[in-house]
Amino acid sequence: MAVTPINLSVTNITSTSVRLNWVQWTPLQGAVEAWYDPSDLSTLFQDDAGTTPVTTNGDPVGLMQDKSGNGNDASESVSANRPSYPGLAYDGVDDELRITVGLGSTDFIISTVIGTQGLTGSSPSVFGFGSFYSEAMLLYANTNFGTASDEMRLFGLGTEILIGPDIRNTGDIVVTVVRENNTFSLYINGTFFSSGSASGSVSSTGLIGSWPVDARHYNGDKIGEMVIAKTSSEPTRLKIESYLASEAGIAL
Amino acid sequence: MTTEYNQRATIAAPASLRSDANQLALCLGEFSADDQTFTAANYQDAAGGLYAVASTVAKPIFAQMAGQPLQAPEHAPDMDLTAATRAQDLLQINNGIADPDVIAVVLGDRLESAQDHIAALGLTQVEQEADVI
Repeated sequence: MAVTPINLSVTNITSTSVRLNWVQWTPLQGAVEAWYDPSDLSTLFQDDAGTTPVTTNGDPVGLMQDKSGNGNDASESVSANRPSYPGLAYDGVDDELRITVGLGSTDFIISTVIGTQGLTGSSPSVFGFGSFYSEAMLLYANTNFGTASDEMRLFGLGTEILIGPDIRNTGDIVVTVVRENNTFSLYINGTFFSSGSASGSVSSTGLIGSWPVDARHYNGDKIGEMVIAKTSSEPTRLKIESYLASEAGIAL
Repeated sequence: MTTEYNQRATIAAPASLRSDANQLALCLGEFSADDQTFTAANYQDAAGGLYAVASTVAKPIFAQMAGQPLQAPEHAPDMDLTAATRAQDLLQINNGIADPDVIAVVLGDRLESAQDHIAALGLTQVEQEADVI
């Protein structure tokens, strides 16, 4: 009778070990600050109060709930400014979702899937924070009137931090910005592209699909799943990018 | 299941008519924040006239309501119905390019591009500096 408990214990440990290897990593395991998943209908509502659920293609999205558990929901109160499901699709005119994420001066990772078809016009922004230049940050695809400056750019904290690649018509891609101390780095599909320096605190108020300072609305075919984490950890970045790519069917 | 929002409406309000146009948006819309639909006048016509442009998916009832006598909705009982009616009188749906004296609307299928609608209105975005410092 005394041997039985020992055998059971060994069996349980082995079973647990195997099971863990099969669990897919999700942002919930990364202690992320915000996680927006526009493919998850249970998190989408047509109005910013969250009373009318999104149910089918073409419905406007006024509220996209944060799946991180931190309550950093993305919302838009003006009807005409709401993007549409699926995608989400931002019309490039006025569509945007407001977020409040306290990045400040801390290290962070912002990683998202974007569709690059149709990008045109005046600096369509993937996301932007801040109403004042000194505390602002935005990532935009500079397709500015064919002036030989068609690269994605990260602007923030009073300077142009870095210049990325021309992403127009490159399909769906995973774009990541990492801040580590005062160094900002840009990754496309998990590959480092460029970095630059800036110092200061990033405003907590931001927009997905635009920038609060002026109209720079995103007009690529979608801004998809997005994860924001308050860390510059490379293992965490790799996990986030792998997860987003897997969910979007993108090969890294 | 199909969406009720099976149309896209793109509306060009001349800069001087933004206030009235916002009252019309509030009246035809479904939310109290819809009086902030027309903000920056960052589109221009060939003559340099400035317009605030809004583009949105819309229900078919949008066009029907736009042609009927207006009533203050439940979400905005104190709205300026006079201003909204002034704007309504200037609505031109699928009737050519934007004009400083009208509120031009392009109404089409929901899958139509807002950018194509803006082109149909004869508008271009006001150029912004590449460097945003």
